[in-house]
Amino acid sequence: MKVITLIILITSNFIYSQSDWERWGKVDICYSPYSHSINEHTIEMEASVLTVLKDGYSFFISDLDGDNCPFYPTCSSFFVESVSETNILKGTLMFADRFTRDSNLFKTRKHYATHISGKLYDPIKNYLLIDSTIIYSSREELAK
Amino acid sequence: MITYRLIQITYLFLLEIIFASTNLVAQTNNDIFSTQNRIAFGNNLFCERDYLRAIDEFKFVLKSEWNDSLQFKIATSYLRMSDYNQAYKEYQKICKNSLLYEQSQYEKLRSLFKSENYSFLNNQVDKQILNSKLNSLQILRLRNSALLLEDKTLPEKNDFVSVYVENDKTKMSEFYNWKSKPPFKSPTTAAIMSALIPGSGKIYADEIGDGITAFLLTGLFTYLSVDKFNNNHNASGWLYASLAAFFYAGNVYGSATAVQNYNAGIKFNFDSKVKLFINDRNQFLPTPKHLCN
Repeated sequence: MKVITLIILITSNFIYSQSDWERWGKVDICYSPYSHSINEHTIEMEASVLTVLKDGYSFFISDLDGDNCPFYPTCSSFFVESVSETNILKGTLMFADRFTRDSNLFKTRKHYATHISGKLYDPIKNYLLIDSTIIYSSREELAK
Repeated sequence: MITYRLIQITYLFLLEIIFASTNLVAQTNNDIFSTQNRIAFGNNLFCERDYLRAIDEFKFVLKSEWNDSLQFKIATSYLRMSDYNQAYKEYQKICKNSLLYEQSQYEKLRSLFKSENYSFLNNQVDKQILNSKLNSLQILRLRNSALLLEDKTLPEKNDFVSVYVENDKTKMSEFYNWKSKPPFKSPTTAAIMSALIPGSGKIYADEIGDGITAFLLTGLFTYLSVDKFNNNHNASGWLYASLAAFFYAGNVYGSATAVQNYNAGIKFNFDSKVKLFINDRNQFLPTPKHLCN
């Protein structure tokens, strides 16, 4: 009886979980020839592997645990995007830094602007080590 | 009796026709869409700050006859709606022989400043100083103020401050000092500090909470790693060592970016203060008068 209850409890999670990851809708099709360099291809592969990991994390942990990340974009999205924009090494360093800031024990987050979603706005462009890409948003206005 | 009633009805009918025709005649004699009415209505909309509809009325009038004051109001409407590029284009349409030409030149410079097109503003100021009757001191004030918001080298301090009136000299002198030696911090220093003592670079970048957290995380995993290796638990030792290295490297990188963000923040605050001061002084330019009389 205990085993049956356990099986029902575990499988019910999958029944109620979201099964349609991408809804049907209009898709813009591009007919131009698709070509990219090896470097781009490698980055895309890395990003797609990370996307699978991120989706797995979302499915098994985040969806059950709830949306707890105080930042926009969330830490998992931040990792995938930072690797896509830079490379695996720099992306990992950026993620390690973000993870430390997320774990801030004192919750001193006065220097972040608020995103329109109500979260703290912390874009990837501010951490590329390039001065010109930094988006400094006023604390009084909502970032979009 | 019937004849009397008939006369009465006819009289009333005629009276009704007379009254009705009076209204019709009045309507045709007074065209509500006349040029004068359009200008009056447009002026009213302009003064009520309904700029889009005012522009429509003024443009309709300009199709049939040229009127420089209406053109000036169209440009001013765009300026007040924060469409600075369009405002600049509209001010350009005012001819040299117009009484509003001088003011329109000032307004063009104002539009350029508000659109934050400082390099073009610089060029225009140089041109205006060379070949116009504009007050060169006023436009020099605006040009110098715009220099504070650009990434360009400033002129000598005396030359910079001398163009301003006495009341503004102290403030502009403060801005000049800040711009000459901005209190920026060094990302390299922050990275080196964090490499030596994890988290110290973050504290240097004014992110004290993040710094202490980074120190604790790196320290904790390093301690656990050493402890595991000492007890010959190599697998978990390597696991904790990897985590320690992960947080350590991330913190060194993050300290440099934190300082960059800190610098961006203080530059943003400085620019906001300068803009506030300049806008408070109406960009040091004369403001148009009698627009809403």
